[in-house]
Amino acid sequence: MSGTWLLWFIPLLPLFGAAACGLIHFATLAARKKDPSASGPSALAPLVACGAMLGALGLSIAAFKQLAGLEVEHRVIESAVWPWIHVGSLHLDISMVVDPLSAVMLLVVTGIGFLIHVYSAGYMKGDPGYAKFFAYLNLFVFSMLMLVLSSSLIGLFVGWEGVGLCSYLLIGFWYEKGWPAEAGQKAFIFNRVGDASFLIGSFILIKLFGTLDLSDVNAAVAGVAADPSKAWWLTVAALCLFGGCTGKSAQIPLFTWLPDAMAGPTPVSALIHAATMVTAGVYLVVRLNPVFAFDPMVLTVIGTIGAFTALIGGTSAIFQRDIKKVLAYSTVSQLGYMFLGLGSGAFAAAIFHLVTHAFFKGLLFLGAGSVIHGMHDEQDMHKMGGLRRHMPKTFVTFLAGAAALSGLPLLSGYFSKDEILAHTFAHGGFYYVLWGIGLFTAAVTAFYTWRMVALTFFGKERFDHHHVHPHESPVVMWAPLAVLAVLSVFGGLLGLPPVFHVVHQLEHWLAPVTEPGRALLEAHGGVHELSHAVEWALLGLGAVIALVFAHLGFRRYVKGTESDDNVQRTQPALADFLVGAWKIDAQYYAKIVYPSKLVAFVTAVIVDQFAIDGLVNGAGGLATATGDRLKLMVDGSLKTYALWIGAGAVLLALLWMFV
Amino acid sequence: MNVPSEHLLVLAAGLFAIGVLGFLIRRNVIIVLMCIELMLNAANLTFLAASRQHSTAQVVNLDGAVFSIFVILVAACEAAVGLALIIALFRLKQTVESDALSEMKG
Repeated sequence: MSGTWLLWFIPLLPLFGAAACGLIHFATLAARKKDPSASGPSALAPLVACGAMLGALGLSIAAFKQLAGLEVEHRVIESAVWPWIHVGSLHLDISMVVDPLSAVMLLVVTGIGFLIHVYSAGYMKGDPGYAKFFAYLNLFVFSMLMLVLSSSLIGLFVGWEGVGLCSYLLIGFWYEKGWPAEAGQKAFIFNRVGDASFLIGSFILIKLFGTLDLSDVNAAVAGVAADPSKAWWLTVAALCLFGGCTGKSAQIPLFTWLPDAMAGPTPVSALIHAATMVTAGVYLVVRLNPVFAFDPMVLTVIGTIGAFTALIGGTSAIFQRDIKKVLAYSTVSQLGYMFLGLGSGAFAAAIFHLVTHAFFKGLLFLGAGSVIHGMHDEQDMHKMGGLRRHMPKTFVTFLAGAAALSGLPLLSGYFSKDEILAHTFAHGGFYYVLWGIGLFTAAVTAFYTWRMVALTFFGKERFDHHHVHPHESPVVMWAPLAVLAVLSVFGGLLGLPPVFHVVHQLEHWLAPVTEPGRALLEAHGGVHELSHAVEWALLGLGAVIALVFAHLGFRRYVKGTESDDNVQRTQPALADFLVGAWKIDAQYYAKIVYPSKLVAFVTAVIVDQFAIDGLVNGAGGLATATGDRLKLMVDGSLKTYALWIGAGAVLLALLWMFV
Repeated sequence: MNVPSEHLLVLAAGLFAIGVLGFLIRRNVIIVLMCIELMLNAANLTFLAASRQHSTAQVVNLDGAVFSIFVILVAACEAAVGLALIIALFRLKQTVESDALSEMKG
């Protein structure tokens, strides 16, 4: 096929954009050296960055169209292959591959990425690192596109590390404040733990199959069944790769970095920590679905971890006062849903939820950013209230996002979440427990979402009118909100449930990718169909729960913050437990961070300063002391020297004679 | 008359001892230089004695003689350099006493 080299330009355009923005940043710094108030050429940066994103989006849409025009069995476009590492029997090639799954991810990453770039042009205006921000943001998109498009696991890993690096850079963007830098380090270290696991999983795959090419690995899984020892290793590899996902996608036990990552600018939270990077784990599992579906035990582990992450994230969001913390824990919780879907073997449903979540959570984060922007960097919802009168556009779009997140009927989040829960329910057995947890979390989600809406936009105005004058955000900020709001409302059309007697667009589209995993599941008897009656019942149950708890959350908090204060007074331990995310982070501090710091202190003071420095200084001291004694022999008298020479000669002679 | 080699060695040892003794106890640097010459010549005598010891009636061993000529050559150079140093020393200190040289005291 002609022109497939154009695929390389999808990731390369943002990379060039990042380089250009970096140069603009240095030019700005040079201009500022002469005149501290100069903004230099930094106003060019958003144009360059958004232009690069628009180009990537255009190419992505073109690739998508070309893909859709192909026969279903041949829906793969591969770019020119770049031979990368050829060592011994190991051959690693890199190419860009678009198949139905990566096409969906491409559109999400470039589409939402473009909107968030536009939004950032308004949000970050006036920041001293304006151009630097766009350089990082474009670099992130490059890494994410590498992750999504790479044909091999090692290319995917390059993107995987790249997004981790950009996440670190952007969380710590305002590093001079101190705590964002620490949050960035925390995110980076937590991700490293996961990445180590990811690498071990990759090594096992090399050992098993001698290749990291994703389609080769997927094809080779079928041949493993005959060999029990290989099957065992494949299970270990799948668990190790999932360990990588728990780091990147903020699942138990590595999820505690995500709430802290809110230290970054809000567009970063929307792009990296809601819409794209954190969903990389979901993408990986679907991409390698035969590897994960090979052993039903692995899927059960994934589902269990997902369900409990959803529960912990959801409950932790209930009493947060920081609007971004609510959204952060909500993201943890929604990612848990995606993994619950994967664990139930519902790969398409997980991707469906990934897409709708990217719409409505991106929208909510950007809306929260608009609120924070309008409130002069206030993030405490207890100091907001009544903002619907001041920010009507933000308010309306935020409502759409909140309705989708809480799963109000007929909105995007309703369909995607209920599809996951329906698949979990259909699985039966132990999955009934997970389904129960999921349903409970859905109730919690509706509650905290509408608490957030009520506290922010309704009730009395609790801010200080003398200092804070809330204002609507400029058009570059609310226009992306409007687009995302439309997507959040109508995104559900991508995957209507079977009871509506229409084709599930996304599932149909992804079928070529998920087919091998589904075939393996079918072999284990892991594919279940629900009768229409049960499906109607589940849909109805989901709708009722969402409506009831949304109403509860809204009514309790529409008057003000009394309900929070009541809980703080009557149940301080419970509130503390939930606000502290079940105290898991505190446990990490007590059990891992403090012992590590103690070891570091002992190493620094006793081993390094005392023992090692002692040895080094001791060697020097010994030489000095020896010199001090020996210099007495040099008394300046020629005769003494001669005597020593003679004594030496005699000694040598004696040695020669007798030894 | 056939002088035994031991006699030569004893003579050389005696000369060497006188040289060492003079080197150690005399302060005048010129005398010290002369003592060094004495020690070198004691060594030459030892070489020659050894060379004679290793000669037979048919083959005369000349190794020791060659060594001695080399040593005499070096001794001549050494005397030239040494006397030049002594002159420089005298210009500096107006004395040729070795005790005057103690700048290198540690």
